[in-house]
Amino acid sequence: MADVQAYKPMYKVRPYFVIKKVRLPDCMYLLKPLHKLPSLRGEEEKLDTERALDSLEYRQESIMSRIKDLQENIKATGEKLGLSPDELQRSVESHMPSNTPLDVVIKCSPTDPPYSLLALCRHIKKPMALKSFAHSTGLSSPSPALLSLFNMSNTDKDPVALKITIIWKEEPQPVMVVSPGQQIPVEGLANISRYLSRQFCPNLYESLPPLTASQIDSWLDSLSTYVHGNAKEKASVLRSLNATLGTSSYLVGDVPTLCDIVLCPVIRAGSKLGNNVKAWVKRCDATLKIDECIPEGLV
Amino acid sequence: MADQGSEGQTEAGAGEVMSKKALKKQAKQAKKDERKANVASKLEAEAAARDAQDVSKDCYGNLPMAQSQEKTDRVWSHIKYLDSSKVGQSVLVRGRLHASRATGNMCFLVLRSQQYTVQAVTAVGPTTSKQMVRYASNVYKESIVDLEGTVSAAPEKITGCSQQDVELVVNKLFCVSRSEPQLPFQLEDAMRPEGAEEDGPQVRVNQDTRLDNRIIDLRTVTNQAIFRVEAAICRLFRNYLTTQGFVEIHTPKIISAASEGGANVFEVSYFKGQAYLAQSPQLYKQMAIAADFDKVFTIGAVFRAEDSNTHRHLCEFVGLDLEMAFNEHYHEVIRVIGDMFIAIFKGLQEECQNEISTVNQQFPAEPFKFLEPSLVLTYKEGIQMLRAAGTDIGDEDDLSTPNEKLLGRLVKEKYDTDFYILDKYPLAVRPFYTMPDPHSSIYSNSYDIFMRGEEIMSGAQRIHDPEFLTERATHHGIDLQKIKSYIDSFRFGAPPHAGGGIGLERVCMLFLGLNNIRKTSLFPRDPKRLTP
Repeated sequence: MADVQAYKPMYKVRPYFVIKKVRLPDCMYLLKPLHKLPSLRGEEEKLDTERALDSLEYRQESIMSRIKDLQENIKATGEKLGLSPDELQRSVESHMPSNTPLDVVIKCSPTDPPYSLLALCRHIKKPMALKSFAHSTGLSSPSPALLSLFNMSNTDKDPVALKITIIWKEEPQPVMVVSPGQQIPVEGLANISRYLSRQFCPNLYESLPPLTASQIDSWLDSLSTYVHGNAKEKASVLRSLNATLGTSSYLVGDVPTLCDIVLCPVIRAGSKLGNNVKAWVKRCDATLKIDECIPEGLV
Repeated sequence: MADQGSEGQTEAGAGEVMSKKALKKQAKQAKKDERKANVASKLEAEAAARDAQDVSKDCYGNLPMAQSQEKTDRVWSHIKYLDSSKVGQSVLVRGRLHASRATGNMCFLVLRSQQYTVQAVTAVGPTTSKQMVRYASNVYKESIVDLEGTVSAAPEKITGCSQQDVELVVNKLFCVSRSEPQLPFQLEDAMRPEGAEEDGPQVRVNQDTRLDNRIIDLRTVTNQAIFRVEAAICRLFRNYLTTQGFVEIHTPKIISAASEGGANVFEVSYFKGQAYLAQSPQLYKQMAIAADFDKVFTIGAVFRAEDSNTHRHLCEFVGLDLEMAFNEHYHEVIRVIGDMFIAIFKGLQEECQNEISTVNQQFPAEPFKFLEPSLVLTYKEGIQMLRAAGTDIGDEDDLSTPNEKLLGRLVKEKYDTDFYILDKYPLAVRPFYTMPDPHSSIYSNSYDIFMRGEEIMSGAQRIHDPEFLTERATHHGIDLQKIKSYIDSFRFGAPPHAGGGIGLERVCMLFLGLNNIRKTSLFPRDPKRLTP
């Protein structure tokens, strides 16, 4: 009798499977609920977020591995070219914005002056100077009024942070040269405004929340459609402007941003402006002083 | 002898028998004479016949040497003005025979007068004899001819000539001054553009050959155009400065002491002593300012005994110098110089467009670009641009020639201009009379002007205070005795002034985009060349 109690098994095997509690079906057909009830939604969301986190993690890992590959590639190319790692680093950093003063040359046509540039310059707080030159190949020389408008400075101090030289010659669209040997020129008024505002007044564009910044981007892109497109495309841009300005006082929200500064001088010269657009132009004149940037005859 | 003998025999005895041989010889001789006489008479007859037939006997030939024999009221037209409006008229032109080509009964001539060429044709016909056509094709090239002919419309455009719509039908052709048949080189070869079509002759004329035979070389259409552009530069310089109130002066070229310490001087024997040829009119310009002329310019020869055989140095060249007194800041002078250059470039663009395109046909170059007002960059900015492009250069270093060229290219890419002024050079690399910058010890009030990346003018605000000038001269280690007269010129009150000087040949060379300064100097002088 006592032997039976002290009996221990010789071999012990871990269980292969665990019998979960089986839920016996009590319903013939089961459908997922069509409308989400609070308790169920919480669970689903958690699953979703978990799934989302997983996929994000996976993407991040793939991006990191691609970056590593790219770095190896650059190092290998650098070695092939005979550059030391410091030189590589320097060449990469050379075009990033730094505190050295910026000296740019913008070539534009006197028949299509970039007034938006002047409007933007008023928002630049750092000392800057703007000077105009007429090019020898220019067939239509700029009028004295234009020249006096495009010769401005907001300071008397000598080391300016931004120096813009404007050369009037025949160009289909404004082109900006920053550093001849190392950067290709920036073409188009929208892109020039983006570059300058990123450097000097990010509060109008870059430092705004990403959604706002992308909306500004889309309005700036519509500028090129307006300038180079045919009558239909121009009309469609004006219509969308009218529609947007019906709901908000400025193009993106209720505070003027880069797209207002860039688009207003261009749009106001057109005809057949909708009422909202006209009101917006008046508002811009009041707050941004756009009318001071355009010579008398064209306001 | 034998004949004499036989003749003697026949003479001795009239009717005596002559030896057979003698008789035969006599007969042969008689026949020969007869034949000769026949031929001679035939030729004479032919010549007479020809002369009788020569309809244009008085319409061609070599004129006697022109010693101002007579005054007629004939009117000569210039080839330049022959165009379709003159079709049907009879004109008298004088020009050089540029080329002639005879084919069968016709002869095509090309007549050249300075930059203009016109085609003329003479063909055998009722009024033109064969002799005249033959004469026309035999006139040596480069001879000066007088051609009287009728203007006729060309059946199709004559591309080889400057007057493309018309050609002349020759009525009379006279040679005024003959040329030797062998020219040192052919003018077509001298005018051929560099790197022309692959087919056809590729003969070019060497620069040395050209300069040795400069008279013939200067006759080419391209050279005529180049020197007309150079004349226009000089004229525009003079005219613009005169309108701005400048006075033209002429400074002495024989001087007693070397003025600038930099370049070397030529020595000349001056009576019982030595004198030098002036390296620059600098000293005398400044003296003129101290003599109250306020704004002066001078155009004259400059002699530099530099032993450098480069594409842009000559031993003797024409200097266009100017000096101006200013009121407050030497930038007033820079503004005047910049405006002067703009006036010169604009004037050339307006007046000499034909000449510029003629030069571009043989020496293709990009048109010259500039900004209005002139672009002025500071030396600091220039150094920054060079550093950004990867050059290692210190703040106070002078610009070497390759650096100057690189900076020129960078400025061209960024500002799209071939002409710019570089202001505020470092004091260390400038001569002793340059005024230092008041706000900085490194820089000076001096400037250089560049065209197509090459320096054409070096200028500065000059020191007008004798004590300060003495101080700076001592600092540079210059013997004060030698420059005593220079310092003395400022002792009796001198206004602040600045200026600079340019070389006419260099400006012309760079404006047209040529590669060697000897192309723009009429009879160049360099260490290896003293003639013509």
